[in-house]
This record gives sequence, structure tokens and C-alpha cells, in this order.
Amino acid sequence: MNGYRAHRPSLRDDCGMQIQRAWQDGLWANIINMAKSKAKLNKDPYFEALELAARSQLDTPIDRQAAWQAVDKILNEKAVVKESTTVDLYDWALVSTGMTTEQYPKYIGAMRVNAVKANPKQKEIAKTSFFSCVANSDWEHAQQVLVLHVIAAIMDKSFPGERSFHFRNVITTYIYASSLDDTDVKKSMFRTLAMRQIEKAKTSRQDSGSESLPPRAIATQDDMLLWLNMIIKETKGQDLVECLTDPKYNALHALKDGFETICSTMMDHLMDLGAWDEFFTICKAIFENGVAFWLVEEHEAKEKPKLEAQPKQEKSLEQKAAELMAAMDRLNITTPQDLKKAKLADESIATRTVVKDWKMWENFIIAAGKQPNAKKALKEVEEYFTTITEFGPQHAIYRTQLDMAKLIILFETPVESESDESIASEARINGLVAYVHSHYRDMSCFDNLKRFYGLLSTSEAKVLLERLDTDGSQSEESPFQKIMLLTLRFRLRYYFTTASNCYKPSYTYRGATCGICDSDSVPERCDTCLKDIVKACVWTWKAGLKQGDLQEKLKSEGVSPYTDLTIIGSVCLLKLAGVDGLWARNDNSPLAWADRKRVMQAILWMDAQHHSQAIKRQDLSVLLVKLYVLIGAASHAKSIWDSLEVKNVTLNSLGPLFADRLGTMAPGLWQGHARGDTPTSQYLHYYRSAIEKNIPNSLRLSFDHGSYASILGNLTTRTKHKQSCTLVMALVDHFRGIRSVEGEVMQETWQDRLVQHIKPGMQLHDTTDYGPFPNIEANPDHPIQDFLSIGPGLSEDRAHLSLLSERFLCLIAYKEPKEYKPANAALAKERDRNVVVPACQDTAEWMNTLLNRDDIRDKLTLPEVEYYSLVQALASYIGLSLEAPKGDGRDKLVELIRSQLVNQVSRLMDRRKTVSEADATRADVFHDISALHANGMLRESALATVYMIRYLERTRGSDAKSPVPKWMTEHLKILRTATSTANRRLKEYIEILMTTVNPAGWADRIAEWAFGDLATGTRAVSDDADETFENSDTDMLLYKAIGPKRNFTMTVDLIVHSWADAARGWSKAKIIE
Amino acid sequence: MATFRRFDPSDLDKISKCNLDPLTETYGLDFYLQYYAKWPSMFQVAEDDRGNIIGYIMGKLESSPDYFRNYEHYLPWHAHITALTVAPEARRMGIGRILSEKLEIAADNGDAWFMDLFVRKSNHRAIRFYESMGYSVFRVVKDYYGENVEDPSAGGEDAYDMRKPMKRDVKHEHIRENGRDFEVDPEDVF
Repeated sequence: MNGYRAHRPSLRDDCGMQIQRAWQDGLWANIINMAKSKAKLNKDPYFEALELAARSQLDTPIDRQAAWQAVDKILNEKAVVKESTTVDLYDWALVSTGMTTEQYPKYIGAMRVNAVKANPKQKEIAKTSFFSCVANSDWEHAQQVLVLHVIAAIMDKSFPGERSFHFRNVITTYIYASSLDDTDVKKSMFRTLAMRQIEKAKTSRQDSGSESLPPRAIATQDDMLLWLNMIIKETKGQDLVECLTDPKYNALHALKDGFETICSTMMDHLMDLGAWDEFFTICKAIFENGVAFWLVEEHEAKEKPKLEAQPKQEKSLEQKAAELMAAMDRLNITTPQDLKKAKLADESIATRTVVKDWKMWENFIIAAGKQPNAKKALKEVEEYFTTITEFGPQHAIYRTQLDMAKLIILFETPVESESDESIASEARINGLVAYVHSHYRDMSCFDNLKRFYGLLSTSEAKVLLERLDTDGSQSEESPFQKIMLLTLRFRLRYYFTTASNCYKPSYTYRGATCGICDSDSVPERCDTCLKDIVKACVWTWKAGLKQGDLQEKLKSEGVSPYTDLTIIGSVCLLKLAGVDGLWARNDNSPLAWADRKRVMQAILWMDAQHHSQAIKRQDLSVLLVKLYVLIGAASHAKSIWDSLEVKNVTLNSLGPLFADRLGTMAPGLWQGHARGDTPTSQYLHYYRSAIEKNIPNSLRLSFDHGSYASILGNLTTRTKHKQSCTLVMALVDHFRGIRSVEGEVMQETWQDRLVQHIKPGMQLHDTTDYGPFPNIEANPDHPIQDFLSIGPGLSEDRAHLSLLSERFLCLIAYKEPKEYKPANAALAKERDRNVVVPACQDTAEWMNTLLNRDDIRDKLTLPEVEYYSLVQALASYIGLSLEAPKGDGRDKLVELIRSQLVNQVSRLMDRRKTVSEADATRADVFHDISALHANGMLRESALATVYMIRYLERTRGSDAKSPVPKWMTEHLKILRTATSTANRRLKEYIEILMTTVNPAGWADRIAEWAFGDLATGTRAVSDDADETFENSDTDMLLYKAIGPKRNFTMTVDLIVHSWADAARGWSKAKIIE
Repeated sequence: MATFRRFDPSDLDKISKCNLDPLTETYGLDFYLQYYAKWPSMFQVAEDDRGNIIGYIMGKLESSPDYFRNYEHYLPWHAHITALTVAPEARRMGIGRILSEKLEIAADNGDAWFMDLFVRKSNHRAIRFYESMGYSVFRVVKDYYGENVEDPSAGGEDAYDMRKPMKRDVKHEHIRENGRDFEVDPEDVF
């Protein structure tokens, strides 16, 4: 099954050298002739199949259909193909001619089962047939194959591999049951069967003791994981709690078996179910055992605890001996050496590992906080943690873990009276400051503490900022500590600036007062704070550039606070510029009304920092990619993106950060599509390999190695890949990009096997990974990536809308091949209409449902809302105009759709007026070029309308008996006028873009945009010596830091060249009339 | 903060912290899934509070094919570290050590004689890291890597084949003290 769908099967050894060679070389005509004669001579069905397999590779439809007809005949006549090698050939022939996994069970799956029935004891046939069914998700036949084989195995005691076939049977039956519809009576039957089998396997283990297990008992952790996964999936609520706390087998027993993963999974689920008490009780027992195991183990290893941060109080020998005795007593052992016995050794390792794991600690704290006497329980938990940390290797992470746990406990511990609150508040601040002082070196220090910031009151926030400010400013002896503390403080202040609880409502026109600086402000965006933060960041950043020793120290510590300063400062600049993502919902781009100066300063600053790094910080690179896309410099964004080497498995999660909506805005990047060179080609290659080859191969390996949890994991992976929003994005952008170059609709979207199975309403998964973005915002609903993107991120609704639109285009663009000459043209047309009309009605209906969802405006840009609404209207129009409902209502409906079409196109074009009337001074180019996405959606809208006009004319126009009715002629005329106007405006826009972007002088202009009179020389640049923080201003500081640098000129050049690339790409875009 | 557990394929959608680092190679899906399918307990990850994967280790259990049994470079049943990576922001915390320790537990469970790995001779940091964990150089594989990091004009770069004995190797028969003196060619290495 290696490369199941990609490679042709190996031929039987007795085929002869000539056939083998021709098969390898793909000489199909030769194989057909040779196979024909062999079939005639030997009466061997294998050669008939070989002939058909070869014919399936030819171009003529009759040859390509031959294998299908043969398989149909075999199944209808209930004939049996006994040899699996023959079935392999039919399988390959059908796959080559478009068989989908949905069609597999009916054709090949059925043949596979018949082959096994005919050879029940042939292990190889059973195996091949089973894996073929598995690879094609044909679980019904896979299960039948196994049942047949298991029965054969039971009948013949000498049959090898009985145990593995038994577990395969359990999981296959279970997967088959899961694949059935809820209404199918077989679902419950097969589910019950699988559950009983796995429960029996577990009981057999428990009943047999530990020495010799019966063949069908659960033996390994992977067997047990299969049981646990099935139980978790099939049992709900309190029943699951009872199951996970079963006195006969719970997390404690799992540890006795040495099954650490089982234990952790069980405990995680208890937490998910809110079973705090049960969790707390079991966890306490686990920690008791953990302490005992560590104690005995360390005694045995004769290692003295060596915790530096928490020096242990010296204990007397008597105390130590008593502890050891108690520990051995708990573990039921007589000497420490007993731990070397295999089973106890496994338990010891698993328990000692589990009690050191952070997630277990975190959940233990949460569960303790839910206990009736939370204060006591939390104290108890803290003692366990302190004790456990003293044992074993003293990795830095364990010390961080202990400090963090203590901090959480501090925040979780209930305050018993109001009078204690001020003491508790002080303790919380002191705790946070102490943590910062211990861990300011860690890059993750800010992130680790983020959970606490939201719990602070405004006054506590202010105190914390003051404390960090004082500590940071006073760290004169350690410039390293100073820069780290100050950077942390600026990040923290930014966080509080974006936190709604730091604002008080006020009666001023801005509606709020900032709790940090007491200024009038817009909630979650205090301009005073933002300006203060920018200035402080620039000042610190600029000062640091001169400190060579410090740079060396930072390098050796592996941290880059200057990158953090740049990011915080630049993000503040962008917010001050008015870039907040909201404009994307109301206009062509998030930069539609942004302050150009601030945006350019942010970009130039980030770029300067980016160039100064030998090893680039990935968060900065990703931010730059987003910003360059946002300002229309897609080709430059691509060059930075390419340096990140996002490929293979990371495309699914990271690809959308760059490639989303690229097909609408950068036609230039698709110019090489004929060579397969587009930004989206690698995505399609990845998904094809993953779905058709890699995952089926991994499924087979998982079955072979008895990794049952991996089988379920592989199936989930396959579903997630097949229903991935990134897959849809890649495919849609791929075809949009190609359309922008070719001007024609390609047929592939409709036919592409990658998305054929996606039906409207199907669940799709957005797996975009926003991990590379800085996590500094307080409001999780409004992260940085939201306001640095052209529009909202991937979503299920957007994916469906885009796919429905693509399918609509393919439907109306479809033309029969030239060779197709139907005997009855009118009948053929009638048939075509019978397909198109209901499909259009269906499309319109689904799109209407999606477009009317309450939150749809949060998932689309405005140009997308307009485009999808237009396509929805076009689809409705076709349905209505071709079905021609009788009565007065028809004209009214058609008129409504017509006006909607015209209005949408007009609204799209209205924005262009500003461009066509621009004074060509290039002042507006910044805003115009950042609206390329809207440009692309307009082009797509016009194209869709043209295609609909063509379709209606083709369908009705060539039929002499049924010419285009007068009313339709009038409608089409109006629509044609509308599209002509749209296209004309589009061409004018591109022309303006070309003339304004290309001329020289841009470097000065961009510098002027960013730094105004400082760049033109009208304002003198101050001397560094006279500069103090108080008398300096941000523009001056930034200009002096980056303006005169060589990188500055280079960056400006790259931006201008990238804009020129964009304009050139658009000038080559084909716009059809 | 970090929690440790077995790898799940959905982790591949959260590996940016590790894999955007230029020192970490991103492979095809088949590569990761092969380890997940064959040696699920030897593919371990470290996850942060936000669900990001901030470190992972991939290992396997194997021996040279049987027909090499009498060959001088025959490798008995052993564990191998294929990849170990920790995100830049999570380094210096001991995450790499914990991941390696977890792999050693799995190797002992799998009854391996030793754990081995290949490292560039120029990667002093990694060599120090493994030495501090009890690994030692067993042999030098000449020109194992196509490119030489320190000298681009050189044909290739040597690798150290480093080993650590597992519990099964009570007498430490599978390691040696003077491993740096033993040179082999890449074709001698399984």
C-alpha cells in the first residue's frame, strides 16, 4: 500500500519479461495486445484485468470506462474475483479514472471482501484486502474482512497473529460503528459489540493477575489507550466520572502498571468533567506515592537533595530513617532494593514522572481551590510541590514551576475578611515582583505572568508598574537586568492600556478615563499611554544600540529585549495611526483611513531592527510579513516569508498568515502558474500527498505495530486535513490567482478530488496557528493579528462561501468538449439546464443562509461581503430566469436581483472615483495600493457577471426554437453595461497605479511621509548631547536612530520596487469583457 | 510553563515556536507520522500554557538488519534520537534534558542496549549537552554531513556517533572511552 493511490501495482511474476517491461515503461498499447492474447490462451481473469488496467490509461472515454463496466458486470453477476492481485488491477484502473473514496466501497471494497471469502485462510489476501479498505475509509468491508479472518483463525488454532487480529477487529468494528449515521440500526449494534470486546479484554487483564495474560487481554499501554479512548468517546458526564474513578481501575492503578499516559489522560478528563473532589482525592494519593518513591529512590541512589533556591533544613538521621521507613511502608516494600523489581520499577518511574508534571500541578491547585477548606487544601498542595521539587534533577524549569505554583496558590487562596484584603493585595504585588526578579532572564517571563495581570485592580496595576519602574531604573549596576526589567514594564503597561478594566466610564466625549494615566480616553486605547510607551521604547532602544558590552551579554543570554521594545513601540504606533481592523469591515482596507506617517514609522522601525539581527526573531519577521501585505508590498512580504521556510506540515497552520487573500491582491505572483510556480502550488501538493498517501501509510503502520491510539489519531488527522479551511483557502486563492492571469474560469475546482467531498454545511476546521504573534494584548478577542491583516482570519463560513462561489463559476463556465456532438442538441441543452438550474438554486440558498448569519460581517471583508452577495444574486437570477416562473411576480423578482447586481457593482466602483480623480501627486497611492484586495474582488465580481451573461446567452441564444426572451435581453444588456463600466474603471485604476508608482523620487517621498520636515531638512536634527528624555520627541528619536542608516534607504527601495511589482502584475491581469 | 506528553498529530499545527527557528528542519507529514505510528512512546512533546509546542523529541528502536549480524559495524537492538528541538524562548530551562530523559525511559522499556545519536563535530554546544547527560563519543563518521558549517570549502563535515548505555547494558559493553579515535565511513553506519 506504499503510495497506495500514486503507484501502479506490481505485476504477477508469471506475466513474463515483455509485459513486465512494458508495464514499467507505460507502453499501454503493447500491454493491451499482450494481455489480450494471454487471456485468450490461459483463460486467466488476471490478464483481462490487466488489459482493462492498461486501457484505463488511454485518453478515449470508451477505454477509460471499460474497467468500470467490467467491475459493474462482475458485481451484478455476483461473480467472484479470487485473486487479490487481480483486484489490485481493477482498483488501480478505477482510481486512475476518477474513483473517489466515496465510490470505493461499492466497487472495489465489495470485490475485496469476496476475494477473502473465497480464500478465508489466506493471510496475505486478508491483509492486502484489509489495508486497501482501510486506506479508502471503507470500514464496513474492512470489518467484514477481519471478521472472516478472525473466524478462520479461531477455527485453526495454529493460525498465527490471532491476538493482533483480535485487537484490529475491535478497533475496526468501533471505527465502522462511528462512521455510520446515528439513524442506522447497525450503529448501536456494532458499537455495543466493540465496547463489549474491549471491556472483556480489560477484564481479562484484571482477572488474570499480572504474570501471564490471556492472548486477548489488554497487554500494553497502547492496548489500554484504545480502551480509554473508546470509553471517553462513548461515555458521558457522571457515568464517565464513575468509570474513571472505578475502584478496580483508575489513574492510580494505571501508574501501578507503569502507564503514565493512561494516568495523565484519566486525570485530565476528570478535570474536564469538573470532578474536583475525585481528582483531588486521587491526585493526593498519587503525590503521596510520588514522595515515597522519590524518597526511596534517592536513598537508593545515595544522592543528596540539592535544591539551591530552597535549601532544605537539615534533618537528623533518625528523622530521615523514619521518613524512609514510612515511605517503604506505603509502597509495601521491605528494602529499598525492592524497587528494582520490574513492576515496581515501572510504577516508580511513572509516578515520579507524573508528580513532576506541570499540568498535574496546575490541576491539583485548581481542585484544591474547590475544596470546602480551600485554604488548608492549597497549603497541603504547596507542601507536596516543595517536597517533590527537592528530589531528582534540579532543572531550571522545576524551580520556575515551583515559583509559579506558589504564585497561583497565593492568588487562589481565599481572603477571609475585608481587613485582610490590603495585606493580601500587598502579598500579591510582592509575589509578582519577586517572581519577576527571579525570572526576568526568561523570555517567557511576561507570558507566564499574563494569567495574573487581569486579576489585578487598576490601583494594583499602577503599583506594580511603579515597582518595576523603580527597580528597572535603579539597576544601574546591571545594565542587563535594567533593560530586561524596563522592557517587561513597557510590555506590561501596553497590556494595561488594552485592558478594559483599567478604564473608568466618564462623561467626556471619549467616554472613559484611563486608570493608569488619568487621561480622557477611548476605552482600551489610551492615546496618552500609547504615546508614552512609544517614546520610552524608542529612547531605551536607541540608547541600547550604543552599548556594545550589553549587546554581547544579551547574545550570550539568548534574549533580545530590543526586538521586544521595537514590537511594543511599533504596535503602539500602529494603534495611534488608527489601524485597528475595524475599517476592514467598513471599507476597502484596514488602512483606508490610517495615519500614513505612523504606519510608515512602525514599518521602518521594525525593518531596522529586523536587519540588525544576525538571527532573526520570528515574531518580528511574521509581523513584517503582515504589514507588507497590508501596504500592498506583496512581493517583498513574500521574500521575508520565504526566509521563514514554512513548508510541508507547517503549511496547514502557518500558511494562512501569508497566503490568505493573496490570489485577489497580487496577480503578479501567479504569472508563473503554467510552470506550476504559484504561492499556492505547494499547498495542493502537500494536501494530495497527505490525504492520499501519507496518512493511509501511517494507518497501515499503526495497525502493523499495534499502535491503536495512533490509528484513531490518524483518522482524526485525515478528517482535519480533508476538512481544512487552509485547504479551501489554498485551492480558492490558487484558482483566483490563475483567473487573474488567464481571465478564464478553470474547471478544476469543481472536479478537484481534494474538495469534492466538501458539501455545504459540512464542518470545516480552522487550524491557523497564531503562536508566532506576540501575545501582549489584554483582550483575547482582539489580538494583534486581527488588526494587522487585510481582513478576518479563516473561518468555516468564509470557506464555504468561497467554495460555493467557485463551484458556481465552474458550473456556468462549463463547455462540452469540441468533439462532443449530441444527436439531439435540444435534448442535451435541456439536460444541461436540468443540472444547472437546481444546482444554482441550491448554491443561492446556501449562500443566502451563510450571508444572513448574525456574525458573518465579523468573518469577511466588506469587498468579500459584496462579492459573495453578488454571486448569490447571480445564482438566484439563473434559477429564476431559466425556470421562468409564471405570473406577475417574475418581473418583480428579476428586477430586484438586477438592481441588487447593479448596486453592488456600483458600490464597488464608487471607491475608485477617488483614484480616477486623483491629482496624481501620489499622495493617495499609499491608501490605494493598500486596497488591492478590494480591487481583486471587483475584478472577480465583474468576471462572474460576464460569465453569467455568457451562460444565459449560450443556453438560450443558440436555440432557434427558444430564443432569448425580450425581458432577458433587456436584463443582460443592463448587466453588460454595468460590467463594462466596472472593467473600464478597473483599467483606469491600474493605469494610474502604473504611472504613479513607477517614477523615481519615491525614496525621498517615503522618508517625508514618515518623518516630515526632519526628512526634508526643514527642521534641524538635534544634537545627541543636548538630548534628555524630557526634551526629546518620538519623531526626532526615531529619525536619528533609523533615518540616516543604510538599511533605511534599502528598505524604502524594497517597498517601492514591491509596489512597482504589484502594479506590473495588475497591468498584466486579464480582464474579460 | 511546560507540560510533557506523547505527541499527537494535531501538535503539528502548533509547532511554529520550534519550527520557525532556522535550526529546526520541517519534514513532510510522512516523516512525523511514521514515528507516531511505529514508536508512539518515543515521540514526546513539551507544551506551553497556550497549547504551543515548545519542544519535541523523536526517537526510534531498531537494530541493523539480521543479515548484518556478522558485520563489524552491526548495531544491536538500540534506541536512536532522530530529532530534538526546543523553541528559542524555552531554552536553558532543562526542557531538552527532560525530553531526553523521557526517551531514555522509553528506551529502557523497549529493552534497548544503548541510545545513540549523530551530531555535527562543530556543534560544541550540543556535544557538551549530551556529554553532561552521560553520552560519550563512540565513533567518528567521516564526512557524514554534506556541508561543513565551519569550512564551506571542505567536502563535508564529520559526525560524532554518541552513545549512552541503557539499563540492559549492565557491563557497559556498548560504549568506549576512546571513541574519538575510531573513524568509520558513512556507508558503515546503519
